[in-house]
Amino acid sequence: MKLLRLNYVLGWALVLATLYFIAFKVPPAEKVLGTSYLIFFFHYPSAITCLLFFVISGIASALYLIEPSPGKDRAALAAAEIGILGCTITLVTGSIWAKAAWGHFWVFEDKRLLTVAIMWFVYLGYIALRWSVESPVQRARFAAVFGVIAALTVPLVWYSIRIWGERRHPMSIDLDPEMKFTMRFGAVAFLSLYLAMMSTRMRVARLREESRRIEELLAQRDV
Amino acid sequence: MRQIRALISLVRWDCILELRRLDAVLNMSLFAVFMLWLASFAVSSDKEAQARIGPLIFWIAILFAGTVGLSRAFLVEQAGGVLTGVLTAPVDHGVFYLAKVAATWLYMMVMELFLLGAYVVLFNFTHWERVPFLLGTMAGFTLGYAAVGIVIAGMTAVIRGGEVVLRVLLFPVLVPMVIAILEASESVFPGISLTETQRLSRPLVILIALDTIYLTVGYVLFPKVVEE
Repeated sequence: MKLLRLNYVLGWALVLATLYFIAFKVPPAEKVLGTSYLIFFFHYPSAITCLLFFVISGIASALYLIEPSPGKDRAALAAAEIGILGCTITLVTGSIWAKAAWGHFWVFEDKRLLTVAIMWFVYLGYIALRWSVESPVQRARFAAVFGVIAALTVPLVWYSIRIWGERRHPMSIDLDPEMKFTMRFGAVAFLSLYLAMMSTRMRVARLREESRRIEELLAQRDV
Repeated sequence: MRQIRALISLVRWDCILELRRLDAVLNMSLFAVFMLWLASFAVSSDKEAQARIGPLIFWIAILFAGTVGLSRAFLVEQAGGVLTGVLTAPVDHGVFYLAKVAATWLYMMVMELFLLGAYVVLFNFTHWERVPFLLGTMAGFTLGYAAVGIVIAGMTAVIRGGEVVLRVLLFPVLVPMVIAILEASESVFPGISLTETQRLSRPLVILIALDTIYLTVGYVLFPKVVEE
């Protein structure tokens, strides 16, 4: 519990430090994009961490299928939920930035935007599947199978620019050293905070399972 | 060799059952053709809109009608307790999956041929030289559709509100394939010009790659779906 609190303190401290860098260290405006580029320091970290958490969810799902255990199922669920949070932030910040940079909230020709939206819908489906299955064992097994299928969207997002030759989202970005540092620092900050959230989510899932088990035992005793 | 024989037997068994009832093919075809006919009202007087929106309606009709077949893919096995029998037989569960994919692919292709006939009539399609390529695209798309669809249908067949969940899970997974076929459609259907960057080879390569990935993943995962 103490470690969890420490994780949160560290995560929030790093996020605050990122805000400090955005406010005082990086240039307030960029040559082409103006002040709107500042949203990039939230957009990039949330995008990169959401991909990472979806990979974690996919690996946990695959490991569950090899050797089932409740811990792996909880890890897959928690990582998917935190990934959805990151993906939502990515889509919202991306749309705001797109409006400022390209004049539209949604650009249909942009395949990276499209593939991120696909990934978001696929993982929402993953949650919908979990809600639909009543038996806990079957739920964990089906979720693990779909978790592996869902993880296939991660390389699709990563290589979308290479596959479809889209030029709106750049393959690599040439940034000032301060910008590059803030971008990477932001990614570490988001990662720390999300890891703390993931461990909380896993703990909540475990406590819920235990309370259900106790409820069942009490019901059996009453009968 | 024994597994190949088992695969052929399972496909034949599925086809015989389907020929007796015409359940999946008939329902899918009626649904798809009706969708196309209904959508054709919107563009009936505008020839340019017909050429532009027609391919999209064609593929959307396939996308939706396919789920009608998928939701019935395990109906017979479950109703008669046949699934347990098949799964306890000395046949690899992966082979059972491949047989289901092959049968679903076959039914969907029949439905798509009916739909293509309706498309020719309703949307005045006269570019016959493009039909072989269109059939190839349809076959490729349907293979990927069936490969991933059977895994998801295997799960949703036994859960509450399964038919809705099937669509919620299946459609987002299929969107990359839809993008590929819409790109391919630019060279198949008239009215849309093929740009330099969107050449024919790219959507086909994407389609083949996705087919291979979905089939491999499905073959590995399906035994986990049906295990007791």
